[in-house]
Amino acid sequence: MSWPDWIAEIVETAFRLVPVPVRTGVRVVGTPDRMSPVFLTGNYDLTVRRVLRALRGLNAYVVVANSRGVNVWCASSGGHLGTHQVVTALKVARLEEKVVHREVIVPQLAATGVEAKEVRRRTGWIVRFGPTDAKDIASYLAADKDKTQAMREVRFDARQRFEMAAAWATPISLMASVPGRYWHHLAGAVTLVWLLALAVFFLYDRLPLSDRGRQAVLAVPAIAGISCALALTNGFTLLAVIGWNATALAILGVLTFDYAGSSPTAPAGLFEEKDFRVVLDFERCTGAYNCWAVCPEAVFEKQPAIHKVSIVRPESCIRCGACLVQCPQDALSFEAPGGRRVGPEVIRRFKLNMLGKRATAATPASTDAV
Amino acid sequence: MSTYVYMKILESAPQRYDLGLRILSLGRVTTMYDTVAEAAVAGGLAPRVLEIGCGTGNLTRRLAERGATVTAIDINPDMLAVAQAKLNDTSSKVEFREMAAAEIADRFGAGSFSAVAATLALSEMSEDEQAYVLNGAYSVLRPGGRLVVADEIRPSGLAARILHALVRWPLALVTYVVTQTSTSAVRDLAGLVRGAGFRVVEERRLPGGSGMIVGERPAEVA
Repeated sequence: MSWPDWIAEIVETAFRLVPVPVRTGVRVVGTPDRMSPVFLTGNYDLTVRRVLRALRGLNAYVVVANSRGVNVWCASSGGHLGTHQVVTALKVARLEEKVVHREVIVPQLAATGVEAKEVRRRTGWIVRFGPTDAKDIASYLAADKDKTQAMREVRFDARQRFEMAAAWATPISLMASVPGRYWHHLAGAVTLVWLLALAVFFLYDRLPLSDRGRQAVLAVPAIAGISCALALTNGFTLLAVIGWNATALAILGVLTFDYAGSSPTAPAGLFEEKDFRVVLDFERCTGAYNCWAVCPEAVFEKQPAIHKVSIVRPESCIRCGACLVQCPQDALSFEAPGGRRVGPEVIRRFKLNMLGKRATAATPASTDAV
Repeated sequence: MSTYVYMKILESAPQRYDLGLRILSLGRVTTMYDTVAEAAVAGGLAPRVLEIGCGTGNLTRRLAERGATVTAIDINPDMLAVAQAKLNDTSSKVEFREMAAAEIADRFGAGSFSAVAATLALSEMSEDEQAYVLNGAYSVLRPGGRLVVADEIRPSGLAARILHALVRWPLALVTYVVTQTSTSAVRDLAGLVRGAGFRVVEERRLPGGSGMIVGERPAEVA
């Protein structure tokens, strides 16, 4: 990595929760010819840097779409990197003049927002969902765009866990550093914040308990640790014990309340949708396998003998909705515990995250009959 | 996956968009809508207007009230739903379509509109998108047709820009906290319009740091 890349990685990891938009449009990598691959990604600075690094030594075009400076997955499930943004980016890029093919490789994690069928209808470009991680791009191309299971699955490895801990710990530490009455406790406060953030992001989802249970399990050692630290530093007064422990519990609350929002492998759902499960209309399925190709959790398995898929690991589903959005037969939907179905037409418009009260509302009136 | 609390706030943001704009402009945004609507329907019987980025339908309604037949596009289905609800009484003259502005040249025939209007829409696009969209607007306008765009204008001098930013940010912060709405400014609106081949026939300052440009697609030379 070059030194500007290092600086960007460190600063933007620390402030990961802030969008960092960069210039949209085409980046030329190497010396592409008329057959070179075309990639598309969002305009979050770290994303663009990582994609360009992954393509080093290769020849390609990279179309940077306007995702408002937000990373691919958050943008695609939040409505900022969807069909319209991809259509716009492809139109403006005018790569029809540069390449003879019409295939654009889009990050797999954009499959929640970018409806491949619709992009093709509106632009003629065929969307192929590439690997989840930009690091795998070179091996993906080398394997003739055949994704291995590992390339399809989303991971939450030690490095990413550390990144998310840093993303939360940095702003909270900065808030604690605002000069004031408690400034002499700064070192203690910052240490506490980082320890709690690391504990949450390395342990939370690995505790085989309910959310409440997990919060309790993390809180107990935190309280014990704080009490020991205060005793060892001769600061063991009633006020200090209450103050530090209340602070620790508040920080734990913040970190765990929206844990799913910071983890790529935690199932979606603070609200009604946490009980949704993905269901297959077996009759409709024709074995296009789009669901299998975009699922980041290997929920589906191909049944080539009968041209169908089957749902083999429903418990792994994180309800990103990508499979519903991409199914050409509309064979997949979410089912609420009462049996009510939320179909692909709803998820395509609003994403599960944005669904809220619309889960029960009628579909909207706007149409676009082309 | 995805930050829920934030999503839950955003989910209802379209309902608060109008309020946000009123706060951010200190109530002056309605002047912009009225001025643009007047300019878009000026000089024509039975005007046919394409509105780019109609949002919650504030300009759409004013265009329809002034007798225009309006095709209003936006990429955000939430915004369109709000607009549709607002337009019920004049809905026969208005058609809403969910599409990107970059698609207009593909979706509408050359010369199908007497005016193309956009308020606070170009500033939502990146610079390469702006140029592309204005080229598209040129092609869907008939010769002599008018492009009417209004947006927040970024002051040109450095000092003016710093002053503008200082005055604006507390207001922008309050607006964002209350309504999750924000706007950004366009650098050189008139230059953009000229760059797409239009003749600029009117350039007007609007209250609240905004401006309106009226461009005309030159009548074809015989």
